[in-house]
Amino acid sequence: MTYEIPAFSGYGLGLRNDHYADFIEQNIPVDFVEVISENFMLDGGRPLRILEQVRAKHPVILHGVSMSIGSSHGVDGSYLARLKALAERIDPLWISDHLCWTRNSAHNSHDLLPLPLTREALDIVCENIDHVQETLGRAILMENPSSYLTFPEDELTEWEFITAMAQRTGCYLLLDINKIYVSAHNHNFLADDYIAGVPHERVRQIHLAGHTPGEIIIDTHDRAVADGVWALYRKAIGILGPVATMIERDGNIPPLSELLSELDLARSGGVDALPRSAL
Amino acid sequence: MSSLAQRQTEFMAQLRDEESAMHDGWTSRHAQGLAIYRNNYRVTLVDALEDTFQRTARWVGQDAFHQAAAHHIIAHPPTGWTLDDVGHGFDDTLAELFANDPEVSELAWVEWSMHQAFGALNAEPLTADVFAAATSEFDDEDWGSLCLRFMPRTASRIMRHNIAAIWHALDAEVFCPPEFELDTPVSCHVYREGERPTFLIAPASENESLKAMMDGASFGDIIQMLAGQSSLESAAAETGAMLGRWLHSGMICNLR
Repeated sequence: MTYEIPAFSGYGLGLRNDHYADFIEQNIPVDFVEVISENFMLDGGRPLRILEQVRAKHPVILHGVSMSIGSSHGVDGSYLARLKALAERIDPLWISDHLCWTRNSAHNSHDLLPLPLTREALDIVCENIDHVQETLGRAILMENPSSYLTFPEDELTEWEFITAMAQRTGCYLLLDINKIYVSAHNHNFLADDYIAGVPHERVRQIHLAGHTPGEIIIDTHDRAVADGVWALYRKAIGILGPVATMIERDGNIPPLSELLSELDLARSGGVDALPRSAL
Repeated sequence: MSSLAQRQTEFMAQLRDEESAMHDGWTSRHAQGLAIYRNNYRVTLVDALEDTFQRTARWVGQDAFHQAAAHHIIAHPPTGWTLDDVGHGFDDTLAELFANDPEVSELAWVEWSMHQAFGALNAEPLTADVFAAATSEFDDEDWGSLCLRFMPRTASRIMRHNIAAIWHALDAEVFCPPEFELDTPVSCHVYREGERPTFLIAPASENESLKAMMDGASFGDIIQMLAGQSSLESAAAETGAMLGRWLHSGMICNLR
């Protein structure tokens, strides 16, 4: 069965603890907010009350970090049940997670670990996505990873892997422009090739974030979006047209006003870069 | 085992063990990448522990806490999908590592229990008025068979140190080491008051009574249990005082 996610454009922020009061007490000028699903997959208490209050004011995206879609032994059933219950409670715009694995049969790393880009891994990822989408009764978005190593057994480029995954499962894509920038540097490919290579019609959301420069760039989300990432974003919007865009900050959280200013840069940069046909 | 499963098993082992051998064909560049994942793994888990056990960290100091956290992660690598569970058993780890400072594991137990209560199911505490109305027609038999439901994730244990004094000293702007040795043990009950986890220090005998009632024992069972240590009359009075304290503190959510 295939599920559709209608296109939705606009500009949003990740909802973080430091800004809960701002979002509840004020009318924050965003078109949506994205939350880390796992922070709200609880039985009750303050986080769920806050999320429901925010949901009453804004569309909410559930963005997970623990689905472990690339695990060779499948997706954790108890995790999926919790996620489904949260989705039924919140009625999110959509649900997303990362193209990665976080756990094996014994342990959980609580980190987004890289997958070998092999046909075998592609089969397993597609099987897991099919299972998740059937269980949730909706399509999900998969986010491209950033990575710090590649595997000798790789058979596909990351964009070939993602394209095949989207075609086979009908899932949609969350394109993290910073992650493309990071991995392009770390693995010496052209970011333009990546953006050109993914199925544009499946992209429903864009993430923008900061990184820590170095010989290997680290995807830290703890600072402002870098100039090179803004340039790549403008190129992406020029190709994709209007796509829901979000600033994702997870460390050194600044005052909300600072993130809103950064989001304004996305708004103006995005509009400037749009193809004429989209205006 | 599939080759992906094999790869994931090896990769996980390499994350957890710096001495683990590199794969054939991997270069120094791979080693650099792996070092980043190892660091992410350790930092994420230590940060999660520090977030849950903020007062314990302050009590023992950052360096000692980080060493204990690293030890816990190695001895008990996480298995569940939620980072919230990383702190499971950390109080036991601290009991081993700080064997000469047993207040450390007691403090950690309070923080862990409060962490558990934080995300517990919502429930409304039973008010004294509602309780009085529900029990107004009770005869002796009704009182004897009275069972209670407590706020979800209520927990209790015996404490041999003045955790309340430590807790408040750690909250103060200027830390002043408190007297924390106790002459006699006490009970510490942890539960959630509204959205805020809290704890209540009570006489030691309450620990066993509360746990028994949480497991389904009746008011009459508790009186009988306490009567083994004193007269039936004083056991009944003590059980009544307990009930009043729990009701007044908002620990009871219903009769059953």
